[in-house]
Amino acid sequence: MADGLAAHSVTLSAHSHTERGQRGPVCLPGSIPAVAKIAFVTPRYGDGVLGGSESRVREEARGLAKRGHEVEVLTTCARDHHTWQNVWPAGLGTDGGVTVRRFETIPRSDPVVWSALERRIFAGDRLTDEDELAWVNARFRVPELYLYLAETAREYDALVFSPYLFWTTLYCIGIAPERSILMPCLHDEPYAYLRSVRAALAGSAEVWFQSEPEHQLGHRLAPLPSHRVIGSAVHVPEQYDPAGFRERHGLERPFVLCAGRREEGKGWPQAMRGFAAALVRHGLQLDLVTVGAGDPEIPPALRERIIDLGYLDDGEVANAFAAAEAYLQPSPNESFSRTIMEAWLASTVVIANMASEVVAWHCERSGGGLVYGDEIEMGECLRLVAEAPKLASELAGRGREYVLSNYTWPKILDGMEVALERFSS
Amino acid sequence: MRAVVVGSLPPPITERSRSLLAEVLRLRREGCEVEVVSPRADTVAHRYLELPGPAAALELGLACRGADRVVVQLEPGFPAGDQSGRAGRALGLGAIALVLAYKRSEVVIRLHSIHDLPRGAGGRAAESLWAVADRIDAGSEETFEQLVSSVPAAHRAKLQLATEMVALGGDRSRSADLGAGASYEAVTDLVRARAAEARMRVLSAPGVGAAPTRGPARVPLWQWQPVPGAGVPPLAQSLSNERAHGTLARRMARAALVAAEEHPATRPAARAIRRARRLVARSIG
Repeated sequence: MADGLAAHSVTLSAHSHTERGQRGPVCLPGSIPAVAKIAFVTPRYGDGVLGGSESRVREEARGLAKRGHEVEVLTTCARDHHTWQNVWPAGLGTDGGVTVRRFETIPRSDPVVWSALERRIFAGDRLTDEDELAWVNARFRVPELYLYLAETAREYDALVFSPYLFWTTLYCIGIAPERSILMPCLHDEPYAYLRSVRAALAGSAEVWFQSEPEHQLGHRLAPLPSHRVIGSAVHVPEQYDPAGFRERHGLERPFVLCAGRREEGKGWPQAMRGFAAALVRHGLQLDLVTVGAGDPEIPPALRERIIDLGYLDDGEVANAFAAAEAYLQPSPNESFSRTIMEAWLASTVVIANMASEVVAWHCERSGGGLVYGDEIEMGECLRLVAEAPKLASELAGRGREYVLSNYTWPKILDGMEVALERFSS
Repeated sequence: MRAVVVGSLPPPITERSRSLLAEVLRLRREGCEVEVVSPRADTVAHRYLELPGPAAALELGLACRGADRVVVQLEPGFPAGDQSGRAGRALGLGAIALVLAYKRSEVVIRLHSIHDLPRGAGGRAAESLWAVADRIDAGSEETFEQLVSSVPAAHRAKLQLATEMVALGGDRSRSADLGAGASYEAVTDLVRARAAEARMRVLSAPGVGAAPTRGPARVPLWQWQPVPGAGVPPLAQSLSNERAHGTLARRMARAALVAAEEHPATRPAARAIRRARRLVARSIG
């Protein structure tokens, strides 16, 4: 599949390699679809769970449940993706009309061996199949989930696995491949090239991508089954309170916001380094405010200019987006990037690392974001925002328009219902 | 009732692993609390046997404490390696038999294929194992027949045929089961499952499949320094020569830790050691 990007609709574009429409009428957006019994299989779910794919699964599960489908989430008792300690009790619960079935994790037992295998993966060394699975297994495992699925998988019309790089997906997707849908949230990273990941892509009944670059990466990795670019979405807040946000957190100077997990894989150290260089090079009159999970490890010399507000609730994060002069997205590993959508919705311009193909694609298509390839370009982007706020505001307006026309929940759920029609019995 | 099942569940999906999975699910349906202990580190299990060969019997003994039923599947590599000689086989089988002989639990020995036991099912070492079993499950009719001829007469009454397997993945051949009245859903399910398996086979063919599996070292993007001229970090230096699952000493230490965590008196010390190891791993990883 080598469709041209420009001619390609982002949401609801189907690339089915199988014959569709032979089982009676296909459900069209807006028509009444057959009720499906769906299980989302995801490693973490619930309040306080940070992560784009985890938030997305929650929204989708709740959205489909509201539309009358029978939705379950099969997940673990863990909240933290570093320790995988069981926090919630195992068993049944509910969340906004969704039945949540939790299973206990057995966290990593040998971190030294795990780290050794991880280093080999990053160095491009080819692991044996056994070592790959041992590496996945050593992070955390959920044998009770596997046994539950082995018993009951065929009671569900569809099993939606997301994201790709966890035990819950790589071990369990092979149980009932005929009804397994993989929503991988792929990034172009060394993990994506593991044989077990490629086998999961090839060994499912359907794959749902979030963006065209992710779709193209999927084709580079494995022979794909029927697949679609479903997209993803963000909620449109009813109102913002930027002035209140500044006041509540004592922010007097204009600032650039960086939200999400403050960790290496998300480009946080590079963001700090680039920001520090811009301060020196351009005498920038902007602070950098960061919100989210993880210890940002701000060097003492920068603590006056880089302000950590820690974890904030969704409403306050929306206010942070609205209060910022620009939103900085340093992560090279994004499969959709909800935060840039949230920034654009709040009419804030985006400055993003072009190493993330998906984010660069969004910026280019919308005309609402600036991308940088190195820290010098990052500094110039920050300088432009500081010197030309009107221009930044105009760019942000284009971004907002782009989000509203492509990435709202009703559109995405319509697309999922069309896709699920193939699986409804 | 607590049952400990020793053997390999999927992956990989094989007749042997599907058969053991069927046994686990059957025990769960009976209301047993099942704990799976696997000799292979890449399979689904609650815990793993860390030590190789006869030493694994010690771990098995610890894992089975307090169990009402112990199911042990003999399989390639457990309790004796494929290349085991007479002594290795005798040691492996003898150690397992010795450990199981002191259990008050019901003991079930499973043998999916006669080839899973090096040098067949006969001999004094194997006899000691059949003697401690309350039941001997054979995974196929052929294995059953071979066991009938190899197992001493005194233990033949324990033999049972256990051919049930869980349908997993594309590893099933149900087209014969699908008669003319098969539902559309059943037919499409079968086609999709088989297609998934076929695509995975395509991936494993040399030179086919989209992504490169060999080539120059890939550079993790977040280790790249976004400074012109800084170059690429020398990743080869970070390559570890450590064996994937550790040296024998490391595996023994790991097994000792698992055992220490079982006992309330030694648990705090074991956990402290684990925490320290995690700190070390973080600092180097």
